[in-house]
Amino acid sequence: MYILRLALLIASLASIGPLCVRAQGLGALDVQAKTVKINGKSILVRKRLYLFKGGLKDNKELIGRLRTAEVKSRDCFYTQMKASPQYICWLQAENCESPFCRTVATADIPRVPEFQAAYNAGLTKFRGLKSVADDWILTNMPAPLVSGFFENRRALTTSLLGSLKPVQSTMTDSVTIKAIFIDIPVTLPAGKKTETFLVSNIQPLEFGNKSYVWACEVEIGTEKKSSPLNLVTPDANKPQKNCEVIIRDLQVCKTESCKAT
Amino acid sequence: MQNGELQGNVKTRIRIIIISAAALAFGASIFTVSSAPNQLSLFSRAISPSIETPDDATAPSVRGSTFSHSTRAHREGKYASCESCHAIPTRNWATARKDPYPDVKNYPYHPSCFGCHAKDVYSNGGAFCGTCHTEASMRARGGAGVLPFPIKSHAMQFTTIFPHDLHQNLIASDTTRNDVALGHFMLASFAINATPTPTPAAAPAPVFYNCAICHKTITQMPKYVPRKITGEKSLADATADTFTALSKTGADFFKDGPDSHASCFTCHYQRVKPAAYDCAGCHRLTEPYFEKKAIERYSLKFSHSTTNHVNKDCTTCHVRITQNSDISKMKDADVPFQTCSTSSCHGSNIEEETKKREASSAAKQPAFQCSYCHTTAVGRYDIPPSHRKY
Repeated sequence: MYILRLALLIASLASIGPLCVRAQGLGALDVQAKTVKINGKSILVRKRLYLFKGGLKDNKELIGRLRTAEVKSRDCFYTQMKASPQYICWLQAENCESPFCRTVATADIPRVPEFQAAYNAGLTKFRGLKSVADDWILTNMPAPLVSGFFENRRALTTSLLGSLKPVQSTMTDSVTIKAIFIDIPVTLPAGKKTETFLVSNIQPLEFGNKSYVWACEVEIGTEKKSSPLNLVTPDANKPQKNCEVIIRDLQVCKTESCKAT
Repeated sequence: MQNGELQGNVKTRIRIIIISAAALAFGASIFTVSSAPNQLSLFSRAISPSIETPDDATAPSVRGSTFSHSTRAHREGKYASCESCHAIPTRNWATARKDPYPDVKNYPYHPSCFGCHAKDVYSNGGAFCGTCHTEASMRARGGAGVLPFPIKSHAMQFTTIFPHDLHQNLIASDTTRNDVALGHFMLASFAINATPTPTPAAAPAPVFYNCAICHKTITQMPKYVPRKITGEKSLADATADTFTALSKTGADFFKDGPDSHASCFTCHYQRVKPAAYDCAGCHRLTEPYFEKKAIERYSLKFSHSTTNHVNKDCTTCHVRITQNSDISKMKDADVPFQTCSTSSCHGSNIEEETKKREASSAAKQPAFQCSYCHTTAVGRYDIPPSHRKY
């Protein structure tokens, strides 16, 4: 009887023990995105990626929001803001989301009405100093045309995240097209050497007339560096393991054809 | 003769009356208050102790010395708004700099101070005037008689809040820049001369926004020091440092950072928030401090300008910069070790040095001093955990 009681006690302690002991530590993850190409071009250059606790199943509400999000394309946004066709073409020329993407060249000023108006306003405001009126052109443009699209996308990200707080976010670079998460707080579940996380770009990436969102599950441990997560080009015929790629058609807003510059 | 004397006396009296009237009018003009809301009558405002007494011991004295933004009277009530004293831009902005731009380049005008301090002008030999004027007396005049603004020898009173993460998002392009990445980073990010090279067709190459908007390669050797290792005892005395041609510390090893409003105002002068008049949008009052004059580095052998560094994106190594929402929380330039150690370029060199250190310890010989990245000021310390993990 005594032996039986002792065996039961040991068995019960053995089952409780692992539940109580949860190792904590820091992990790291490389996300490789160089091979993700649409029409032969890498699209995950300098893009923000978010890291969440839990896998696809744990984050199904987020995935649901990503699937149904209303995404306004760049061209539609600027068309609705009544930007001139020349301004939209200037943005399209280098695939820029906003004028913060590249500097306004002196030659661009007479070509784009918004730049010309801002330059003229600058000359008046800045005591006729051409250098200031030229360099500070953005500060004399209407805010919606300067930071409006960024604010729109930021609001979209906020609504997609809802109350969910990412563990971290980081960005891919423009050369290796890799994102590195470091010092990730990892809590190892009982008997496991890794914890499950979700990596997603959240903000739909616009390319052509489609938008793309990746949401991929990954295991991260604390003892050694985790295997890199390789994001892959979406293929309708080949679903990727542990990944969901949401591809949606974007509303097309007719803009004037842009001359090649 | 008598008539002449009488006439002379009358003239003298009239002169005295006119001069007295003029003096009274001048005095009244000083003491009379304008209709501006932040200017009150001198007589209605004897200086209260709360104005003159800083509410914390660390705030410097107002009288005749450094002006403190942190006294209660200067940060609360009618003076809580920076605009109540500072005009932006100041009237002298176009002449105060060689390359002018609209900015605050002068002290607030007298009405901002005399609202509370008019009495101070007449006491203590006018020492109060010396806060801004070189000539601390009633005869002080503006222009040449004013101290340079800002006074560089004075401690800083504000920190700057700059979210790198937000700005990184903003300068990210819509799609690929692969076809121009090399060009844009060589020309605009790392090269000393950021002017784009014209293409054969004479059409200038686009210059993309990137870190180089604010951080340019330094052209003259700055002051630099090896970063101090705290809380650890060195394993050996420093030996003489050795450098290769590529690792010899040079000016092009370093990047500068904004030290004025110039780069910020390009976008934020107006309309894009926080705008120039919203000082609190970027600045926060803090304990007075002096900025470090020397650049601190763990590696004084790293050049930003070598061929295989210049062709990288800044965020390839400065990984956490895209996560940083407040510059004041950055402890250094923050290049995680793994960005160097896991690369095919340096992984083997670092591994080799680690093995040499371990071998010297095992053989109980003087500790091998790591010299591939570090000078001996850093290389003679124990290998930190970050270097051992990856």
